[in-house]
Amino acid sequence: MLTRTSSRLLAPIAVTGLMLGLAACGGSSGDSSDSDVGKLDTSSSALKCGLGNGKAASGTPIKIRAMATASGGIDFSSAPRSAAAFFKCVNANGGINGRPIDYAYEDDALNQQKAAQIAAKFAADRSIVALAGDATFIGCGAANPVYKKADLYSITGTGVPQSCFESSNIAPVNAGPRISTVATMQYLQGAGKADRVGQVSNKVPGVGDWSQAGAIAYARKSDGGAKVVKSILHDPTALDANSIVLGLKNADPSAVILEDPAPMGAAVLKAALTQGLSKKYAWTCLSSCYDASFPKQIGPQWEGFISNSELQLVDAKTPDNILWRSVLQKYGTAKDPRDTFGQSGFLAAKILTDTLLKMDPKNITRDTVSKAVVGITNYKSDILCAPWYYGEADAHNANHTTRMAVVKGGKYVELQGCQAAKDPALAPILAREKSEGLVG
Amino acid sequence: MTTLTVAVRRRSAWRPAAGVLGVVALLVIVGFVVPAVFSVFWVRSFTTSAIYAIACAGVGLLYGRLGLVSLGQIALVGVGGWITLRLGYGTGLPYPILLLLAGAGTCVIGVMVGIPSLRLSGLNLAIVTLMFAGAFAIVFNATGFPNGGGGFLGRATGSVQRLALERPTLGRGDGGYFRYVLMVAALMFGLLALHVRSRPGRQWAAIRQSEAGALASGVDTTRSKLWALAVVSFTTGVAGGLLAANAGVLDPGNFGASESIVLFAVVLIGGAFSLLGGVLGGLLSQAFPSLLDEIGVNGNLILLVFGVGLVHAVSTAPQGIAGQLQGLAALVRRRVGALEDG
Amino acid sequence: MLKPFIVTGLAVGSLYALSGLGMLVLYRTTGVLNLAYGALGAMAALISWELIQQGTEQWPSYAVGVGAATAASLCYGGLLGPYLAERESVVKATASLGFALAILGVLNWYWTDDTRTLTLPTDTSGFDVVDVRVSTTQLIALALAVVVAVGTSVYLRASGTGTEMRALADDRELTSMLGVRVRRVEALAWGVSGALAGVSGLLLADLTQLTANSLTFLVIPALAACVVGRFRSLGWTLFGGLLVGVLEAVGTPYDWIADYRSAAPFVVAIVVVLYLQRHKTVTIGAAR
Repeated sequence: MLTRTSSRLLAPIAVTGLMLGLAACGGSSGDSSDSDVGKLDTSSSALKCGLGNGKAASGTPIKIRAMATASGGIDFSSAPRSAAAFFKCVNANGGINGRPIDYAYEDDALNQQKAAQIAAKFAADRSIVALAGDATFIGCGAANPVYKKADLYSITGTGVPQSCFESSNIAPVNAGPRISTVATMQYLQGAGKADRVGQVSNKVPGVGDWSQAGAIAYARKSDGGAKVVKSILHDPTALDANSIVLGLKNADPSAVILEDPAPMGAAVLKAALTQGLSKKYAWTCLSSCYDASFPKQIGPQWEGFISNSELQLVDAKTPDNILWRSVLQKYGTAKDPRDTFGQSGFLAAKILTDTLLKMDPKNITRDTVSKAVVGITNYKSDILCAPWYYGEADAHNANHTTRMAVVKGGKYVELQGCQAAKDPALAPILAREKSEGLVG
Repeated sequence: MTTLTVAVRRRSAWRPAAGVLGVVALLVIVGFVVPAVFSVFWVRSFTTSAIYAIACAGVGLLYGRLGLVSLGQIALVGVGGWITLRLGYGTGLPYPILLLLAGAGTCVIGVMVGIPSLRLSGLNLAIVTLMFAGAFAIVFNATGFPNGGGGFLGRATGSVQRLALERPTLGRGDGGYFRYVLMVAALMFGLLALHVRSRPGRQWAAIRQSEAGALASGVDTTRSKLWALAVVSFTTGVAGGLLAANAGVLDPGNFGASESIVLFAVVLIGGAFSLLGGVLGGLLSQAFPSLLDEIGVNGNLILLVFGVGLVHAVSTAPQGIAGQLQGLAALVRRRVGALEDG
Repeated sequence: MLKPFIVTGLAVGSLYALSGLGMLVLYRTTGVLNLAYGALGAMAALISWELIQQGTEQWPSYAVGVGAATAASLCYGGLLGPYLAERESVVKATASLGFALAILGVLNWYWTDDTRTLTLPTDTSGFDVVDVRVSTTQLIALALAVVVAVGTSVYLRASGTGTEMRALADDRELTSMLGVRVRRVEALAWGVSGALAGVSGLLLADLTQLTANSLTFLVIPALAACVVGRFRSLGWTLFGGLLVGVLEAVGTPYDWIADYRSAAPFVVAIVVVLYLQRHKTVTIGAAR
C-alpha cells in the first residue's frame, strides 16, 4: 500500500520540483541589448528620476499597482516591468517628496474572470492610490466598472481593445489600433497610394473590427482621396495566410494595411513574398509590427516595409527616451525587452510620478490622487508627439498623433514625423480638448 | 472458539437526510466564513471556482458515470453565458429566470448536438466533441458576446458605453454573490446527485458496465444517455449564466477548444467519479493558478501542472484526488470500526 | 476565380494531411492517437529557431530540433506504454492530451510572445500553378505527406516489423506472448512518429506561424483528416486533409461564408463521423 501511494505521489512531486526548478531559471531572452542607442550614462547624476536628488526615499510607501497580460499566449509584461524600473529609480532619488513607491503588477493570464478578480482586489485595497503601466489585453472591459465604483484611476501603458479607450477610469498613453490604422491611411494618402487600400485583421471583437471601421470611416470622409477596397477579418486561429494574400490580390489594391498581431503579420508577409507581391503593393502595418526584432524576422527582402509607431521610436536619442533606456539598464534586467510596451509603461509611471510630486506628501490618499490624476492636463514628453491629459470623460484617447517608421538597412528608422490622425470618431474628444483646455 | 462478528448496518432513513443537512450546513458556514476571512480577490476566486465546479461536475458525470469523454463542455458554458447576456440586456427579466432560460437553452443545444452523437462512444465521441469545441470557438469569435446592443447578436459598436450585466439583487456585493453562486451550485449539484442516486443513475451505471447488458435488462440506453446529456447541459448552461454576471462581460477568447481540454484535465485530476471531484476540479482550474501566482511561478507553467496531472490521473489514479481522499476516508472508517469492534 | 484558391487550399490541406498522417501512423502501429503531435512539432521548430538565432548553422539546428522531438516522443512512449497498454484508445488519447498541455506550458514559458519566423532554404524557389506561386517548401510538405502515406502502407503490409507493429496495435499482450520484442517495436514506432512530428513541425512553422499555440492546436483540424480516413486508411487520410484544406480555402472569395470558413475542418469531421456511425452496433465489451 505504501509503495503504491508513494509511486502515485512521485509524478506530482516530480513535476512540482521541475516547475520550481524552471521557475528559478529564466526564459529565452528577447531583444534586450542597448547597443542601438550607444553608450548609456547610468551614473546617479545622469539618471534624474522624480526629484533626482540621489537620496534613497524612506518614508511611508505609496502603493501603486498594475494589471498586465503576461501568460496564456500573450506577453505584455514589459510595460509594467519598465514602470517598475522607473519607480525603483525614483525611490533611489528622493521618492515622492521622501516617500518611496511600492509597485507590483498582477498577471491576468488572458482570463477575463481573473482580470475582474484582480480589479476587485485593487479596488478593495484602499491603500492602492492609483494604477500605472497596465497592459492588459482583455481586462479593460471587466475592470472599468469596478474601478469606477471604487474611484480608482489607471494611467494605462498600452491598451489594445476598444474598451480600453472608451472607459471612464482607464486612459492609455498609446494611441490604439484604430488611430494607428487611420494614421497609416493618412500617410498612404499623402504618398498617393491610398486609392485602393486593402486591410487584414483578426476577428477579436473590439480590436479587428474596430480598427477596420476606422479605416472605412476615414475613407468615407476623405472625399475620394482614400478608398478601402477589401477588408479581410479572419479567425484568430487561421493558418492559411496564402488564401488571405490571394483574397487581397483579387481586389488589386494599391496598398495593404496589416492590422494583425505581429506573428500573423509576419506570416502574411511571408506568403506575400512567396506570391511575388512584395513589391507590387505598399505593405504597411500597425505599431504591433514596430518591434526591433521584426525586420530581422521578416527577412532582407522587406526593405521599405512601413510601420506606424504610436510613441517615439525606441532608439531615439531624445532625453526622455534615453532616460527610459538608462533606467532600464540600471534598474531593470537584461531580459526586459526594450520595446514600445516598455516605453509606454515607463511613460505612464513618469506621468504618475510627476503628478504625485505636485501633491502634499502627507495627503496622498486614493481620493486626492484620483482627483489629481483626472486633472492631468498638458503633459509634455518627447516620447509623445502631443501633450497628454486625463480628464473626466467616458472615453480616453489623448494620444492621437503618431509617427511612421520604415525598414532601412534591416532596422526601423523614422519615415515621417508626428502627424495628427484625422479619425472622424475623434470629434467629441477634440471638442473637449478645446473647450476644457486639456492640451494647453 | 472464534466468534464471527458480523457488523450489520441498518439502513436508516435518517442517513440521506442527515447527509443533505450536513452539506447545507457546511455551505452556509462556508458562505459566511469565507467572505469574512479572505480578501476580495480570493472570495472572487472561490466564486469562479464554484461556477466552474458546476461545469466540472457535469463533465465528471458524463465520464465517470457513463464513460463518455466530452471535450467540448466549455462551449456549452459559453452558450449559457451568451443567452444570459442577450436576454439580460434585451429583456428586464429577473436574474433567476435568466439562469433558468440559459440552462434550458443550453439544454436544447446540448441535446441537438448530442442526439446524432449518442451512438458514438469512446474515441469517436471525444473527437466529435473536440470538433464541436473548435466550431463553437469560431462562432463565438465571429459573433462576439452581447454587450448591450441591438439585433440578434446584441453587439454594440461605435462609442456606445458598453454595459456590464448587473448582478442579482440578492448578490450585489462580492460576498453576497459568492453566497448566491454557492446556493445555485448546491442546487445544481443536488440535481446531479439526485439523478445519480435514483433510477437514471442506476441505468447509467448499467450502461457503463456493459451497454449490451443494459439493453438486455430493458434499459433504453439512448434515452438514458440523452437524459444525462440534457441534465448536464442544463447545469452547464446555468454555470455560464453565473459566469456572465460574475464580471458582467465575457470574452470569446476564454471559450476555445484549449479551455475545454483543460476543463477535462482538471476534472480527471480532481476525480471524475464523485461530485467532490467536481468541486476540486473547479478549485484547481480557478483558485490554484492564483495560488501559484502568489508564490511567483509564471502563469504558463500551470499548463505543465495540468498536463502532467492529467497524464498521471489517467494512467495511475483514475479516480483522481477526490477518489484518493475518499479512499483515505474509507480506510480511516475501517480502522476506527475495527478498533470499535475489536 | 476559384482555381487559385483550390491551389492554396491544397497547400494548407497538405499541412492538415501531414499532421493527420503522422498521428495515424502512430495509431496504426501502437493504438495510441498522439494528440501531442503538434506540440512536439512546435518544440522542434522553436528549438531549431533558438539555435539558429544563437548562430548555429541551419541543418545542424534542424537536426537537433527534430532529435529533441524524437527523444521526447520516445520518453513518453517508453514510460507510459506499459501503463496504458490495457486501456481503451480514448484513455490513451486523453493521456497524450496531457502530454501536449505540458509541452505547451513549457514552450510558452520559455519562448514568450514575440515574432519568430523559420525560413527553410527551400522557401526561395518554387513554380507557378494557375497564377499562384507554390514554393518548394509547400511541395515538400505535400510530397512528404504522400511518401508517409504510401511508405507506411507498404511497410506495414510488407515488412516483418510492420506486421509486428500492426499486431502490437491490435493486442499488446498477445503480441508479446508470440515472442515479438514488444518494447523494441514500440520504441521504433514512437521514435519514427517523434521524428515525423519534428519534421512536420519545421515545415508547418515555415508555412504557417512559428507560435507554440497555433502549432500545438493544429492537431484539432488535422484530426478531420484522420476522421475521413476512418482512423484506418492512410490514403483516405491524405485525401481527407487535402479536401478539408480546399473546402476551407474556397470560402475566401465569398463574403457571407468567409467569416466562418475556418470551421470547415470541424464541420467535415462532424458530418463524416456521424455519417459513418449511422449504423452503429452496440459494443459487447465491458468497461475497463
